[in-house]
Amino acid sequence: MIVRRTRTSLLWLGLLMILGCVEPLPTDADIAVIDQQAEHLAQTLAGEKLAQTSPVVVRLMFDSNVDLDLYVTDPLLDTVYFARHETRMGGVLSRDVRCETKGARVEEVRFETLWPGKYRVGVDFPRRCDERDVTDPAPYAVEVVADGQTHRVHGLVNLEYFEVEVLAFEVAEGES
Amino acid sequence: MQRLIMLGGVALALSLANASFAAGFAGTIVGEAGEPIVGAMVTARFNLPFQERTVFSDEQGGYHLAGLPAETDYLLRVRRIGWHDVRSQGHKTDTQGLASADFAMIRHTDPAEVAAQLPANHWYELVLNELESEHDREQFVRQCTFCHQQGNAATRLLRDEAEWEKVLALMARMGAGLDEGLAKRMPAILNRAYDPATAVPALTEGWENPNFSPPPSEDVRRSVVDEYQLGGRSSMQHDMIVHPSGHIYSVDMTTDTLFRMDPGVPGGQREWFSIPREEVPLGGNMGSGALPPNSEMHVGPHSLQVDHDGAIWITLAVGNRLAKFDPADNSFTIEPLPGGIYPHTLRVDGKNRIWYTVAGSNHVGMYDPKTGQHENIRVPARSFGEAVKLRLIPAFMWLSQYVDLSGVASAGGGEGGGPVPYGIDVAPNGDIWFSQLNAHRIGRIDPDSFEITMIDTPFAAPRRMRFDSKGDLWIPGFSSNVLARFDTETEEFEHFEIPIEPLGTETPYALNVDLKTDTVWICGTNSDTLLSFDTQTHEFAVYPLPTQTTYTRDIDFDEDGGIWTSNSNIPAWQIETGVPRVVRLVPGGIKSGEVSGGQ
Repeated sequence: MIVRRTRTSLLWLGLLMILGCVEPLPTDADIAVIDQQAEHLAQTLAGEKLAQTSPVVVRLMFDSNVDLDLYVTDPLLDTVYFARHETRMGGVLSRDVRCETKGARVEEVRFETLWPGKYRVGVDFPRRCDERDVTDPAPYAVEVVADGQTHRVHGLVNLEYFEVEVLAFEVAEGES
Repeated sequence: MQRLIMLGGVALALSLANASFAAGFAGTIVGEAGEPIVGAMVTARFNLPFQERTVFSDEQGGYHLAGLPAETDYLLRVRRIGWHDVRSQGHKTDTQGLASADFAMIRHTDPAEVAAQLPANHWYELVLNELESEHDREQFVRQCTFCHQQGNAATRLLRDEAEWEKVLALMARMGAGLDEGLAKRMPAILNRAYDPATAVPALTEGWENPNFSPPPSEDVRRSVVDEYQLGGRSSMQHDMIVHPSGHIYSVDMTTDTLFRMDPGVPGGQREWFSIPREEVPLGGNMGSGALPPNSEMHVGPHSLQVDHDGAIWITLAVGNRLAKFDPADNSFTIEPLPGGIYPHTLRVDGKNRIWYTVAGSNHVGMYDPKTGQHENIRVPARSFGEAVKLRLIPAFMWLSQYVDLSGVASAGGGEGGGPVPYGIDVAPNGDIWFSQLNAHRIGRIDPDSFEITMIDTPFAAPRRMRFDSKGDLWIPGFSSNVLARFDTETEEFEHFEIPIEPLGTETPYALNVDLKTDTVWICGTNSDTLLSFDTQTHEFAVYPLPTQTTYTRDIDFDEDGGIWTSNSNIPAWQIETGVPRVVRLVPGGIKSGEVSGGQ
């Protein structure tokens, strides 16, 4: 049964590729290159000084050929992102970057008050900005500065895919 | 944190369990000149998680908020469109009887504040007026209001067009796709419709007139509305039921939780049970590509029903499973399904078999717990091409491990989302009937041979339907603003327009029939209302609900005449107060002059 399904699926795969409907996923070598780009973004982000500080600052850096979106869910389980610019706890999308945005490819969320609890950071890849008809994943780097502590992560996100949680961090009760 | 709050709430509710329901408040609501204000909603909130009880002021402006626990602290709120909300803390009930609390309301002077008080459907009309073709209107209604209201405070925003485009693209990934042409035009349309410079004057013409927003009828004003906070800000209480034990059960789809609430305890005693996830990843079989950002959904409990033994059956939509909950020992049994994608709404037939629509793959499923028999009945597609596409879904899911299928999988607009088997019910003669939301059809399945007959509906988007005691099938037309009766013998339809003002702005998601009276109760999903329809006189009654953004998807009844539903707007933060509620409406709950009714 499994063999028959696999054979049928491969036939369909071949047909879809001939029709140009699908593209092979990137190879391991491709992924390794994009991974290096993510590492480079992380280094660049780490080297960039914050223009001004806030108790919680979350930054997402990505390349100019893609539009990624930063999502930060606060301890009240409310989320600030490109379509909700401010949460009830005061999380603000202080910098929104789209394809047409000039300058640094860094999206930023700030909280001016330090609320204890868990924060969740997600990254979405809604679209490419160039004309290339490819579906390679996009590299990204995230840096969080929360009450003086820094958390970092970098990685890849697939096109039209939302990584709900690339990083989570906790602010303990009583921190100031 | 959410759980701690709930534990505290349970403890508090338990401590109140012996408190009497004999207390409450009474008083008069007047305007600035001392004139009575008729039809004001007076709400008392208590406990944490909270319960709110709401009554309406009568012809003299008087109200009786009875049946509340004694010696308890309350926040009182008075609300009437055209006047500022009154909020008053620190009210305490006596040991018995009604404590006095009179309120004076102040008229709004800014029409923008009046417009902000109107239910979402009023703003929504401004968008519908911008859509010239019926095809576009129907598509927008069906696709853009199936998770949340359209026109509420969170959605009636002005955004630059690029941001709207991103919002629409995100919604399409969540399953609400528009045709490419309409999607391109919508940003400008939404900004034109929601521009306060034109919207506020249009919505508030004649607002200085006291009859601008007429009070509900005298009968409706006798009703009592109870709302119980259930779950937290990441919750989505998709469906709820009344169990024969009197408990309310509700499934929280985005946290994989089954809630149980005892409304017999003041404030409502709440318990919750985590549904086993069995290694299913976040996002379930759908992946996390389009999850709400605060979601913890692995299996996604969607709908629930009680079988003839008192067990509760639940469809786990993104886990592709059924779950059985035994209230005797609070245990779950998980039943994997043989195929299909996204088990949806379910019913139990006379043989205690579970029938359920399978929305993603166009099936209706049947499971017989006695024998272990599973049937996965493929229901007709609209065309040969669609049938091929649907059959390829499992192959696509397998292939997606190896190739990128985003170009293939991104569903086009209104007609591109599959037929979507949706509502289902068991006829008095045992036949199974279901709807196909996007295909505008209903179907009958012979429960023994599984033979299928399909019937086109002469209205768009038949959604969650129910039989009355006589065997007539009642169907809400979600994007066509109708209640329809279908005679299964003659196969004739009869239509009744939903009378929510402005006409044509309601999106009736679901209905249920009170089999004691054959009254049809309908979700006023976009207007913060419940509606009743008398099947003898063909008269509707509209019951306003007190919370802004009350998005409802199902209805059930208790033994005492209460009509229950849940506020399942997603995201929950759009709901006034930011958390979901289960809601009980008691029509005629308080008779004139009676002080202790409503319980």
